[in-house]
Amino acid sequence: MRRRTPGERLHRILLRAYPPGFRARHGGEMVRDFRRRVSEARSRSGLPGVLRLWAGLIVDTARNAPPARWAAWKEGADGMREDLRYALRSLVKSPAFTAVAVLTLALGIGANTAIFSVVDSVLLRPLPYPEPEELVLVWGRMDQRGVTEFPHSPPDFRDYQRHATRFEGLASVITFPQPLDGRDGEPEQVDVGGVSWNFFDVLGISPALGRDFQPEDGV
Amino acid sequence: MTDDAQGSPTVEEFLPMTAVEFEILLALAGGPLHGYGIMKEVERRTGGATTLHPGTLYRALDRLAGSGLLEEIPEELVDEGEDERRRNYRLTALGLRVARAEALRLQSQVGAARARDLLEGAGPG
Repeated sequence: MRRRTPGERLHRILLRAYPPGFRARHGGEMVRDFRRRVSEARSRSGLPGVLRLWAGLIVDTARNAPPARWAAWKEGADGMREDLRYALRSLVKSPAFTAVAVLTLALGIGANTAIFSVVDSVLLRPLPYPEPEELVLVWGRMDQRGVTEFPHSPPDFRDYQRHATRFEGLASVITFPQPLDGRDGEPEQVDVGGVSWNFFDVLGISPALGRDFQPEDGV
Repeated sequence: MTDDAQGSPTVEEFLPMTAVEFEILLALAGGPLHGYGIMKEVERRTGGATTLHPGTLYRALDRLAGSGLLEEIPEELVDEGEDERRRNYRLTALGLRVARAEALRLQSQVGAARARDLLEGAGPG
C-alpha cells in the first residue's frame, strides 16, 4: 500500500465536509482523480498551477458539501416519515392489537411513574430542612424480642436530653391516627404527631403561622 | 445503452438542463466513461474553458443517476496503468433522448441568435 502524501491527507480532511454516504460512494475516486490532476498541473504549470487547483478544490467543497449534507439529511428525514406512516397504517389496520399494546404501555408507564415518584420523594430527594445530613433518628432496641426500632419512653428521652453530648439537640416525636370531628359531616381519620417542645427548633424550621413551642408548653 | 424502465418521466421534465449536467451527458454520448474520464473529456472538448471539480461532478452524477438519465456499470478494472477499480457510467435510453432534446433546444437558441446577427459567420439557419 502506498503511503499517503500530505496533500492527500489534507484532501481527505476536506472530504469530511461531505456526508458519510457520499464519501463512501465517491471519496476514493475523488482522492485518486485529484492526485492525478495535481500531478498534471505540476508538470504543466508548476506550483502556480497546483495552487490554482487547490483553490478550486476548496471553493468546490464549500459550494457542494452543504447542499450534499442537506440532501442526505432530507433523505433520512423522508425515510423516517415513511416508516412512521407505515407504522401508523399498520396500527390502524389491527385495532385489537393496538388497543392491547396501548393498554400495556399505559399500565407499564403508570406503574413506573408511581414507583419512581415514591422513590424520588422518599429516597432520592433530601429532607426539606437545613443540613438534612445532620439529622438522625435514634431508636431503642429490644434484643430479647429481636426488635431493632423500639420507641423510647418519655423518661428515657429526658435522660438522653440531659446527658447526651454529641447532639446539638434532641427532640421526640410519636405519630398515631386520631379521629377528627368537624362541626358538620363525618369524623375523619388523620395522622397526628406528638412532639417535644423543641421539635421545630431541632429541625431548624419555624411554624408558618403562629408561634413556636416554648419549654412551658411541654408536659 | 440500455432501455429505461416502462413509464419513465417525459423528456420535457428535464429541460432546460444545467450546463454541468449537459456537459456530462455530452461526454457520455461518446461511450461509457468513469468520473475522471468525464472530467478530462469536458476539458478537452472545451479547450480547458470548463473544469469540472470533483464535488460538482460526483454530485451531478448522483443526481443524473437518480433521475434515470445514466447508470453505473459494475466496477471493472478499466484504468490501465493503475491497479485501481473505477466506477463507469453510461447513458440510458432516456438520458440519450434528453441529451438530444437539450441539444436541439440550444441549437434553436443559437439559430435565433444568428438571426439577430449576434453571431458572426453564416446567416440564419
